[in-house]
Amino acid sequence: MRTHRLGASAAVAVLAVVAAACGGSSTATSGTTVTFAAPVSQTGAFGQAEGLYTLQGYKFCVQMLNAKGGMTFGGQTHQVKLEAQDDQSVAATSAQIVDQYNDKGYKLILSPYGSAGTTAVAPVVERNGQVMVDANGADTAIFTHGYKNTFAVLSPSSAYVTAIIDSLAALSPAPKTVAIIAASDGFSQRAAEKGASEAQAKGMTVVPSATAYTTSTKVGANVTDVSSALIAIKGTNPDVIIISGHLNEAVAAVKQSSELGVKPKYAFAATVAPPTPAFISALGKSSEGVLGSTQWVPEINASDNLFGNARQFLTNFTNTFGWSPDQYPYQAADAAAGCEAMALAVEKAGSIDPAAVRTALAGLKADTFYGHIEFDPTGMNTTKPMYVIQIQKSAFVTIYPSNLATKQATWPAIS
Amino acid sequence: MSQFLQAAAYGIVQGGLLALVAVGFSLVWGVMNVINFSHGALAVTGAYLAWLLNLHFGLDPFLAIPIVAVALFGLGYVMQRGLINLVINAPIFLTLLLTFGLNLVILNVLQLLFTADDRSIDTTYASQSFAIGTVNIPYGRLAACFLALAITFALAQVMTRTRLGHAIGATGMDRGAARLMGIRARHIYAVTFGIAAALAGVAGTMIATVGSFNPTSTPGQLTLDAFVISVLGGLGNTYGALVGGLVLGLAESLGGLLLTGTWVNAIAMGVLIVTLIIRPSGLIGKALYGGRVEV
Repeated sequence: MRTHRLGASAAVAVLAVVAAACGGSSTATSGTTVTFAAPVSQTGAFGQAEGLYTLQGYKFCVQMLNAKGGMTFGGQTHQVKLEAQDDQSVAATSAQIVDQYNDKGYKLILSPYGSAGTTAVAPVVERNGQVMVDANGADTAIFTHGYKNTFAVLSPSSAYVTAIIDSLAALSPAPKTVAIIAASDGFSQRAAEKGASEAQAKGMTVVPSATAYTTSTKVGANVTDVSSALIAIKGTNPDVIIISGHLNEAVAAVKQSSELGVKPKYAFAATVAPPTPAFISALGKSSEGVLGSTQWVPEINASDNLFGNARQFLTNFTNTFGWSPDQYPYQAADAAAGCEAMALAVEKAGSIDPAAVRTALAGLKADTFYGHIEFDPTGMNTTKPMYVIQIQKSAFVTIYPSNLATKQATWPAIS
Repeated sequence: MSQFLQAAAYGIVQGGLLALVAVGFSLVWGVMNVINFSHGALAVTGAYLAWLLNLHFGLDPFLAIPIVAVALFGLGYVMQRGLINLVINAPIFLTLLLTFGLNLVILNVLQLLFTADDRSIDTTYASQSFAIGTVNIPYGRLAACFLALAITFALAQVMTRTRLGHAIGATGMDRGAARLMGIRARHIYAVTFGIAAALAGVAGTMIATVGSFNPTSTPGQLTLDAFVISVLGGLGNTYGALVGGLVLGLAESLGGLLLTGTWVNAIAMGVLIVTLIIRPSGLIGKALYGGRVEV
């Protein structure tokens, strides 16, 4: 199916070029190349995993757009070029790069990986009159500053731990106690805050206390030592330990739990990290049974003209970049959806003028392979739900919501 | 109570690892009056070397230690003889500036060679632990702690019972008098810096074994830890770094019980300030190093 789709895309591209070359009056002619610019982590804390996946998602989107003949507006087709620069996983560097993009005339910005980078870039975009589609910065705080030029396709941070709690509540036996370790960055703290409230609403007890994520179980962002949080949890014997953070903290928590003898009764769960190939490669067998919240799963009933349906996106993307379809990085789907939203907005605006693209994004309502994309007045996409996977035999298995579940959860995950 | 005991046990083994990082830094500072800002970079260079040996030859990090130590000794000797010696008589700020520059050069070279990605050496034992009652002791950090004890003891023996040690001590106390006694101060300085670099390499190997490292954030943290531990323990005493490391490890671990994990650096600095108010020469440092004679 995937081969046919690529073949069809290539045929469409060839036809478009031939038609343009013939100069048919009813066919769009080739126009200028449009640049999407993105400061993406290729080294540093996110370089090995999340940044890499984001870059691949952007590249895949641009590849598919160009295979289709490019974007069509103003009676012409426009090829798309991706300008990507390594921000070394440093938020301030992301902001500097976007400023440099502005000097070069690049006004259409695709976000860096992560909330910290996106938070740093958003005011720069605003000041320069650029427009940004945020594909991987979920911190709700980004959208409290009144920025007009930043639009996020992904679900906000408040949904990450909440989705995990909802999935746990649906399992049998449902956990009675959970501990939440949270990194100190805004995304992780806000995800933990909502998660703790949701856990209490579902009748679970948060140990050592409901606000421990702000004190004893709070750790530095991207640290590789979370011993203080694990020691704080030790003795409370939680049914589930949830890590609200990124790859480093989640890997450290699972690893150091062996060092310190802190073992949850049922399972570990984490935001961001488990649905990434790097998590499995870093932990090996220790990753088995870990639950993770994710922005996208291939089981959703969603499709569009660019990527086909969700399953086709998965097949084509994993084949292109050599990933196993059992270990797909959801961040790439976020990135591809962000790039697609930008392309749809440009076509809708009929121009690459950032003000016109901004207006088009504000009114965008699109059903895509990623799900529905529509922005509220602050720029968030609150229409899309989140999902939960579990790592089973080194594969991501969707377990929540139940109507999308491909297998039953292994539960309790820790024997 | 069990949390307190667990934090204390973890703090002690973590303190041993920190002591291993600081012992070479303290030696160079004590003997040469050089605050080596490139110490963390040298440790990370050792970590990369051990990682490469493990990656390409499957060499266990503990077996890689002698190779790493010899290589880093050579690098340290050359750095001192070729560069730092040029400004050894200059005010301390100049050596500070030079080692800071060397730090940047080493880190940029490492970043060019290996990128800024996190690396670690995977072993089957490093992240495992054994339990004594409710307290778990991690094998990897315990091994690093024993290594720190052994190295510190061995270094103390070298310093007090060998001609080389006496020469190092004498040069550190009074360079001019040492020269008059026929000690080649330039060579002794280079040997001292080489030993410190070798110890940094050993520490880097241990850090790569029990955790992870990268050329951007790891070196700065290690240099900061080494600085705090050296001042805390006191200069002029080989066991100063060990005592300082253990105190810092305990303070950070027990402090983490009361405050949040994000306060680690603040706790370290707080302990340092309080100690300096009470004992300006450090916990077991010798005051004479403040009044050394340099000619």
